[in-house]
Amino acid sequence: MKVAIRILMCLCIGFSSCQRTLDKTTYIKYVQSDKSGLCKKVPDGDVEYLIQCKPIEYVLINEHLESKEEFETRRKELSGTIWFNIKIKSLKSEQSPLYLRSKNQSEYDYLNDYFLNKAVSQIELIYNGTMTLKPLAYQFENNYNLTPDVTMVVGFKLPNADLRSVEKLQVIYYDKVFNNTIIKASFNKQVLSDIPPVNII
Amino acid sequence: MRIYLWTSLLAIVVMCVNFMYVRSNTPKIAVIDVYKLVNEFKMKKDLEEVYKLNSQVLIKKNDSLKNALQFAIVSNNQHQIQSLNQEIGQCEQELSMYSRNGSEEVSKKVWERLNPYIDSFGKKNKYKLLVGGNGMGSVLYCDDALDVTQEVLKFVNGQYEGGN
Repeated sequence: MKVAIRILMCLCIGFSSCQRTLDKTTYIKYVQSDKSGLCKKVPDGDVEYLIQCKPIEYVLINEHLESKEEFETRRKELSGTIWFNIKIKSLKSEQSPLYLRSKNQSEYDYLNDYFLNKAVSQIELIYNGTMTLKPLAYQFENNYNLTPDVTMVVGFKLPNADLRSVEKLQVIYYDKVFNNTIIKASFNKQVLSDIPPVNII
Repeated sequence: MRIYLWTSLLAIVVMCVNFMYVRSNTPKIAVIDVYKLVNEFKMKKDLEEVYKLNSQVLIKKNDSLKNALQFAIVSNNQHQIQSLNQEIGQCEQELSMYSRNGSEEVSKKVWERLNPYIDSFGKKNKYKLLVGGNGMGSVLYCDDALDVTQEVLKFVNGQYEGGN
C-alpha cells in the first residue's frame, strides 16, 4: 500500500512539474493572452502603449515556414534573440495615433520620419537589471489610418540564449517626440520560464 | 447553567455576524498625500532627469554658438556673425521656453499616468472613495489608519516599472 502511495505521489509531482507542449494555435493564443504576462499595457493620456514580448518560436510560427530545413535555418538565425512589439493605440479616437497628433501633412511626415528612423535610438532593453542592450533590428509598421494603432517591432540579441536563465527583462522606450513620456514594461523570471514549449513542425 | 451558556454563545455569534455585516456595508474610504505621491512617483524623477539632460544639451549648444560667434567677430566675418546671431537667438528662445514649460509638462505627464493607476488601485482594493490631501486644506485631519499613501506609492511605482 505504502509503495503504491509513493508511486502515485511521484507520478503526481512528475505530471505537475511537466509543461505541456502546445500546438501552434494554442501557443499563439497563449503568448497574446493577458494571463501569460507577456503582454503589458501602459495607458498614457489619449493613447495606450501595448508591449508584447515575442519569443522566437512565436516569430517562427508567424513566418509560416513550409519545410523543416527552412525552419531550422531560420531558428539558427534567430537563436539568442528576443522580440517585442510596441503598439501605440488611440484610446478615444478611431484615427491612427499619427493622424491624431498631426494637424497637417508636414507634421504627419515629421512623426512618420521619427518612427521610421529615430525612435529606434530611444528604445533599450535592461537585461537582468544591470546590462543595457541596444536594438539589433527595428521596423515601424504604419497602418495608414486603417486601424487606430501603429506598431514598432524591435529585436535584441541576448547575452544568454536560454530564456529560462533570464532573471528579468525590462523594455524602456523614451518617447521624446510623439508623446514626450517614458514607457517601461518588465517581464520577470516567472513569466519567461512559464512559456510552454511548442510543437512547430 | 446550560441555557445560560447557549444564550451567551448565541449572543456572541449574533454580535460577530452584526460586526461583519456593518463592516462589509461601511464604505471603504482612504486618504492619499498627493504631494508625497507625486514627488515619490518614479516617473516624475525619470522625466525630470530627461528634461535636465535635454536642457543641458541646449545650454552646451548655446555656449558653442557663442564661442563660434567670438571667433567670427575676431575674423570679422559679417555673414557668419549674422547667421550665428540668428542661431543664438533661436537657441535662447528654445531654452527659455523649455525651462518655462518643463515643469508644467512633467506635471501634466505625471498626472496623465497617475490617474489610471490610482483608478485601478481603487477598483482592485474595492475603495468607494479615495481623497487626495495636498496640504492646501482639503483634508484637515486624517487618522493614520486611513492614510494609504505608501500602499498607493508601492502600487503606482510597480505599475510604472512593470506595466499592467
